[in-house]
Amino acid sequence: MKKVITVLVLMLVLAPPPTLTLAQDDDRVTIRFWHRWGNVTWLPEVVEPSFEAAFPQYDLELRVMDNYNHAYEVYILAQEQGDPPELLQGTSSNTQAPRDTGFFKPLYEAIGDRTEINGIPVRLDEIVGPAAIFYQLDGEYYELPWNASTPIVFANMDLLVEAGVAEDVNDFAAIPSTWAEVHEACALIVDRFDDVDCINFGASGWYFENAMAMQGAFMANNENGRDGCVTEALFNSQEAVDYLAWHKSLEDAGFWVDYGRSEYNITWANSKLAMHMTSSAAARGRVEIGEGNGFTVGADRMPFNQDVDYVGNTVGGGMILLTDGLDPEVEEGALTFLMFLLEPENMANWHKSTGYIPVTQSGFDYLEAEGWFDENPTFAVANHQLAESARVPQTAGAIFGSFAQVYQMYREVFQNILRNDADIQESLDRLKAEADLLIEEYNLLVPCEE
Amino acid sequence: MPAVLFTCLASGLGALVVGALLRRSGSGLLGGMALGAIAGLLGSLAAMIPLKYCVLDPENHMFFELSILGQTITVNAVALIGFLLVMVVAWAFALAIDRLRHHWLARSATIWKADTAPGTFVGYDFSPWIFLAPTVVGLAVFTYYPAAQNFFLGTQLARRGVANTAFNCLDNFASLITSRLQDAHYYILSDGFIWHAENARYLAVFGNSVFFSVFIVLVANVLGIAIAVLASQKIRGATIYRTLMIWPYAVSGVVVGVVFAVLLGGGGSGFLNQSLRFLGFEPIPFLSDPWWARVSVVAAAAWNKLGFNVLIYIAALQAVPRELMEAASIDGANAWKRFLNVTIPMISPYIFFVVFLNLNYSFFDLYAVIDNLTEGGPVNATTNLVVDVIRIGVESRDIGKAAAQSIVLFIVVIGLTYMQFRVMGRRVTYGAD
Amino acid sequence: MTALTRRRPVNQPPPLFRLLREQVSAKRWYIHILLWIAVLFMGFPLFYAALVSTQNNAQMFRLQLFPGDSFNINLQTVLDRQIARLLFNTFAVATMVTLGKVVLSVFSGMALVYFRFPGKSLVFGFILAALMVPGEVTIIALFRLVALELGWGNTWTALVVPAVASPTGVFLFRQHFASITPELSEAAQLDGANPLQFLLRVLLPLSRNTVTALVVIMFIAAWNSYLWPLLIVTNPDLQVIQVGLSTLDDGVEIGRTYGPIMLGAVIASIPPIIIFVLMQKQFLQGFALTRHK
Repeated sequence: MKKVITVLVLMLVLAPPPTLTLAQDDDRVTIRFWHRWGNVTWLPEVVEPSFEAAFPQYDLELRVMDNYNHAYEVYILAQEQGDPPELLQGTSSNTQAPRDTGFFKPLYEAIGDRTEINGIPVRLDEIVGPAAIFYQLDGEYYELPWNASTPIVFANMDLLVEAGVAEDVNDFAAIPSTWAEVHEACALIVDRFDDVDCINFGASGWYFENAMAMQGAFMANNENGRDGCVTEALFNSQEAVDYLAWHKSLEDAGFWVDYGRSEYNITWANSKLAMHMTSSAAARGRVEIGEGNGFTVGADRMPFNQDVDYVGNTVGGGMILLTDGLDPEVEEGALTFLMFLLEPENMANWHKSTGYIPVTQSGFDYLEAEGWFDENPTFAVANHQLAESARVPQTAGAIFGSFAQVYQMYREVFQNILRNDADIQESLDRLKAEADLLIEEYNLLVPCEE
Repeated sequence: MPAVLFTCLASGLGALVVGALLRRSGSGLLGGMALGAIAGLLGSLAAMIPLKYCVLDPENHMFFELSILGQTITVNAVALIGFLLVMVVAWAFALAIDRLRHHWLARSATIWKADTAPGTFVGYDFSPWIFLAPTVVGLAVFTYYPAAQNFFLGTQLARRGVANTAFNCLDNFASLITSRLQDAHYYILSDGFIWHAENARYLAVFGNSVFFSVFIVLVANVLGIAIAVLASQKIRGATIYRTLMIWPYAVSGVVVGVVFAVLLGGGGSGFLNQSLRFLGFEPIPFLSDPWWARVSVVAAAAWNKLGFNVLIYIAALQAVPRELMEAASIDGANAWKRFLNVTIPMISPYIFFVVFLNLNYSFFDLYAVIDNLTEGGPVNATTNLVVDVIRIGVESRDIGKAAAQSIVLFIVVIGLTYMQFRVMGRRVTYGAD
Repeated sequence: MTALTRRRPVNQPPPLFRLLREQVSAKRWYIHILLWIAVLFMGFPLFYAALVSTQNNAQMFRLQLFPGDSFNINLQTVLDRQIARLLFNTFAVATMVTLGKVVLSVFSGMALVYFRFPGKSLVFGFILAALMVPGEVTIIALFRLVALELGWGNTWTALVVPAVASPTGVFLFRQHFASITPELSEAAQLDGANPLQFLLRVLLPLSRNTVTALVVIMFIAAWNSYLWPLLIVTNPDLQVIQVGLSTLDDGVEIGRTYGPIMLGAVIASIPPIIIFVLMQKQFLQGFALTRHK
């Protein structure tokens, strides 16, 4: 017993007391923003001080969440406790459900027809390509596109050169950009090396979604839910089968590898992985690992189906949601911060710290003028890919309330196809059937308003 | 009208089944049948009134195909689960009524009469209630009420963030059976299937829970006993060895998951694989191959529990009387025989104790390890029942389906507890709750 | 009274741990080697974690087997992520939970042994049956209850209050008190002691080991709890260390930094390991108590 007390007392003494943040007794309006970029030091170190310097009436509070889904869960909890943050970072695959909760105020309603907020111009009409249409409905913004990304292929150029796929390490055009070219390149790579894996990408919904959009296919009926409510999923179309057949053929040939839990950093760092298809937001991380380990990192567009005309990619990543029911002055502050993020310089720095595309034209021009893209061609790929994408409902992504849940089902079904050799068409039929059930259930709880 | 027929049918069925069973255990046939009829009646009413007899509605159907001996039959999962539910509730009623009947006459008053154990304080009528109130209220509110709430939520369409809910009969349960997104297959080591069920998602998840439990218990106990035997030898520094081996018990599941992910992850370039390669072995896809991922979870969890097992087994081994061992060696038994015939029987109560603690742990407490090691993948290969509940209820925010799964989990607990009581008699165990 | 407390209870279970004391005899080198292998096997994961906690990613990717030079940077990172506050929170919550459990369990155990009242066996059954319901089974409904109906989301109340009623603890103390000879309480009553005086002056001094065992088990369990705080606490200022570890992991998208994650893991493990190692004797005695009943 004495020992217990000793230990407990010892711990009490050694345990550092919480740094008491005395409530700042000022009149500043607090704007809380929950985001998930814990290691992007640019946010707390540059954005926060510069925003507060420009607008001393506001106190910006950044809070790091460990992932989108968890952030949304705890946001609901915060709503239930009556103390939600003003701004929440959400993700593209969970667009409709938050709109249905009534927790958030559509951006267009909050902004109205104003052209500037607190002296910062409203740059919504500058937002580029698919990033714009993804978060719009009937041409109006519901959320603010901010961290938009698109899947691209990163390549270890030194490995590609050694395998004879590329001429030299700056020959990014040699990175395969069609389904057939991936096969050809992988054959060379696997032939050349014993212990190098050819390509890795997640068997997840996002690549599927993009593959569908690239082939001009819809994910759900009523034009992906943009021309009426979604009542049916379209996951078993020929385009879906073709994509999974391609993925499966890579797996069968031993070209596609999966490390489980996306734990590819070590393999990438050790030059044991030639190509890696992932979010363009990973550009900073990929390139830094390449520099640290002495190889050149190249990038090119997401491979498309060479037998079908390319339509376009969809954006991934996330957006920022504005809480409804705020005091007018608080809402004004939150909007000010949103517009602040869209300022060209901030857009450019956000892009540089991660690889997310600058979603505004002025942000892009700013980087262009700096010569950033000429010096960092890896970072330019995503913008090019999205610039080429058609602004049609197919590339705007599907919106229905149980989409996030269906995302989980994708993984299961795709893995079942890849690992258990399940029949592709049959698996997708089942996926569609179960997704339809979820859609039906959701529509029962939240009757869809046309 | 169909409701009345249904209730009568359940009553009749209850009479037949319970009557037959009770007759075997020595009660009269007629009495047993009467009891069964009452139980069937009450059971069907108790199960069906809250459900508004929805399973009788032909509109409520979720079909799945079942192939038995080459014949494929289509079964309505909603009706099947409804039927099973009525039978289980009726059976519980029959047991309860039978209990009451037996005990009522014999010692009807004893339940309410205070025992007369020596040493009790006299004249304090309210004190015990005050002493007990916080615990009883706490358990009622935070254990029993949510447990009961599960049954209600299991019949609802309910989503987090959506204020609206809707009654949906037994669809949440039926969807467990009818979900066909994944294949389930289990085999002994790598040669030959035991069985392979196509399109049976929940079965696959259930199988994972069983797999983890069996192998974690096996590994943690075999290694635990082996190490304990070594460490309980009369050698210099035994205490130091023991201390150096038992501490992983105090390490949290999160830390175990995170650390093992670094050791095992990274494909062919991860730490363990580089070490294997250095020793001339082929790399192993620890976290990306479904079977190796399961093995990895077992290894991590067994490592976590091993320290505790070693501690208990060392204590158990030291309690084996030396005279027994000496007697056995005089009889000419070698070390291995002595171990099998003397040591193991002597420590068997401890083995049961540890096995059941480990079993409870591996069924219910693996979430932190799995979430941080494999996130349930690949192919849901490491998704067990608890991980699935969290995935559906929290990550997908589908509360109704998660509640239905929780009830399945609850049935598993009752099964495990029943087993525990059967094997260990009345010795109730304790663990960290 | 004082005379009573000095008396050894007749039915006290044998101190099992006494059997574990060192018994030195022949040096058998191969047993030492096997034991060292076992020790290394058990120790390696955390040892490697400690190693990585001194390295940067490049060193870790090279699988360097000696300490790197980034310990200070990693330490700064975990400090920036408020690890000190997380540790303090965890310590505070775990202490409150443990204290609550011990107090409620002692009182309940006492009520079940030293009083007679109608329905006692029913109450005991009610408490014991709760042992059967692991938290994971009720977690979905409990979350709804605590967050929606009680409105305790994002508070320490939500972490502490649902946890303090402990069927395990009640059972432990009931068994312990039942093993103490009834003569003690009879004598105490003859001396005119009321139940509270009996508890404070006689029972508690006799229950040191049981209390310690419960403290060790409960404190470690509370320190290591993950799922519940993950669901119910949103404010990092109130969060506990196990959940906080996951915010050290930024995910693979922009690249994990392993050093801080491993450093966090090591730091989070030190307090429970120290307690467990120091208290193993009492832990085992508490265990022996339930075994022998």
